[in-house]
Amino acid sequence: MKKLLSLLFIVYLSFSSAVSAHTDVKNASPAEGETVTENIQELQLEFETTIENGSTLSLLSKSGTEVSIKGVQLTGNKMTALTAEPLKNGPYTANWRIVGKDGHLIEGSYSFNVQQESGNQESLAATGEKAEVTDRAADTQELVEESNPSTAAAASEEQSQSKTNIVISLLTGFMLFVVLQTVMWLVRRGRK
Amino acid sequence: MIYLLYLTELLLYICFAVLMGSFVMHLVPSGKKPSIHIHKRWLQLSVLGIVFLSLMPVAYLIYMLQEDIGWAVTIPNVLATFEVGQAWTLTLILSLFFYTFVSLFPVLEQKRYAVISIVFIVLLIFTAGWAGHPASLEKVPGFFYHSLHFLAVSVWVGILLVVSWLSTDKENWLHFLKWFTPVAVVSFIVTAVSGFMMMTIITDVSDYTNIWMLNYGQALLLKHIMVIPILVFAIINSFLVKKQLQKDLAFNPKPWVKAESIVLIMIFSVTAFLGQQPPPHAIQTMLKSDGAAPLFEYIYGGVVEPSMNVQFEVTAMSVLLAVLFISFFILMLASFVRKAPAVLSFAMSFFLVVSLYLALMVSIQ
Repeated sequence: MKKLLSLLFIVYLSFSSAVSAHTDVKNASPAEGETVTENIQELQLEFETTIENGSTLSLLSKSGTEVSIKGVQLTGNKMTALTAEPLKNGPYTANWRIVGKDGHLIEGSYSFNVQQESGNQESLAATGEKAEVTDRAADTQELVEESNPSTAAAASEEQSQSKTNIVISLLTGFMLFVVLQTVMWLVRRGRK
Repeated sequence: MIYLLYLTELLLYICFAVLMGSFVMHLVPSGKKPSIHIHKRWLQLSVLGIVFLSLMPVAYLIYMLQEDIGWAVTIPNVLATFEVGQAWTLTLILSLFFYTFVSLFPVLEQKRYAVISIVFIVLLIFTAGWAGHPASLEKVPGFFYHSLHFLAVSVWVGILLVVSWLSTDKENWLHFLKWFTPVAVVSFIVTAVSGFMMMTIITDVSDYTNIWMLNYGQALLLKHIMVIPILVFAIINSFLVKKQLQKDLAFNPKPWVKAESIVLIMIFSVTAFLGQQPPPHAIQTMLKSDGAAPLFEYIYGGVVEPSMNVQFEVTAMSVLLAVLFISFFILMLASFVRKAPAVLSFAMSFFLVVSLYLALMVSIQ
């Protein structure tokens, strides 16, 4: 049962990490997991380090087809990408690959959603309500995510009880042996 | 490919140290050092080594980037606009002049030529510091501390390497110790302080134990632990050797400096690995995207969550390992006192590092 729990946790981690891998991204617009309800053609990513030329970004739609990007602009620690056309409804994954100022290559990706009102004709009130609904949806999602680590903590706690590693124990035993042998050898050497 | 980079970086540090050590030793009057034999060819090779070995990380970057954009665009782009590329271009130019200088002038005969050579080395060190991690985060202080760190290490380790491996006798050892001990102490303090300042730039000091979860932090921890045997060897090689030589002039101190220099080269290797790891400024996100360090995961034995904080708990195992650490510390010194071969002390220093490392890692909750 314990093993099953931790296995489940690992499976959970491996699926969720693809979504939340955003090393060094400070700010992004649209933000990670955000549902965009407006016309959108521009992606902005702000990194923690200044980025060098050669940094790229690709955008994949749900079906995995690449969305054509008109151009990527790099200024300081900001990367701005313009798509050729406004994005259609659906989930998107942005894959970025940047070169930091120290010459290190960092890769990552994040996802967001585009969910435009079909005609944009509806009354403001309706839009507000809709936004609230998505907000609430986001909240519940957060709740789900928050409740998960607690099971995870339980799983790792259970694991930690049996964590004394056999290799480390053997190594420690060996070192104990080395200490005793060396002490004996040095003492005998002194007597001569 | 990336593993090759660790090796080339290590060799790069050794080239710097050998050059610095050779020229500094040349400035020392011959009555205050053992006889040293250095071929000009070695100096030339070290300069060439600097050019090609420092090219390796840049070449690796170009190789990684050309997949997207192609060689023709990538090579001039990286060399001319990336900071690492620009730094290498400058290294190439400086080294070409340095190589010509070393080849044409009697640098190992006249002191002023040795001084000019040292100026070349210092400029090359500044170039390396300019394109390093710390400078990419905070330009001026990063550059300053990195260069200072590199400079102090090359002087200290350089002299030690030259004296232990390139000296032909053990004459004037007491005179040598008289000036080298303070030089080593000052270099060590400068190295430690500048290293600490770099650490404050790269990460929060309060996160010191948390970065152990990442490869970078593991390397940093090992590096810091390895400083302890260096201090023990320093005590042996300065005070204890001095006493021994005053009693018995036939005593050969060279195996002991050799042992110390090998531990220093091991620290270089860890540093070479460290330099190629992404610096940990966002621990949680790095844990999420790259995962924890394999060695940390292996010893910790549990699931490492991104939100984890490294906390300690004293266990029977960690106490036992701490006792072993103290024993190896004492045995390192005892080996010298009992006139055992230096290799025994070296073996003890190895176990000292392992036992302290495990003592700390095992006690993580």
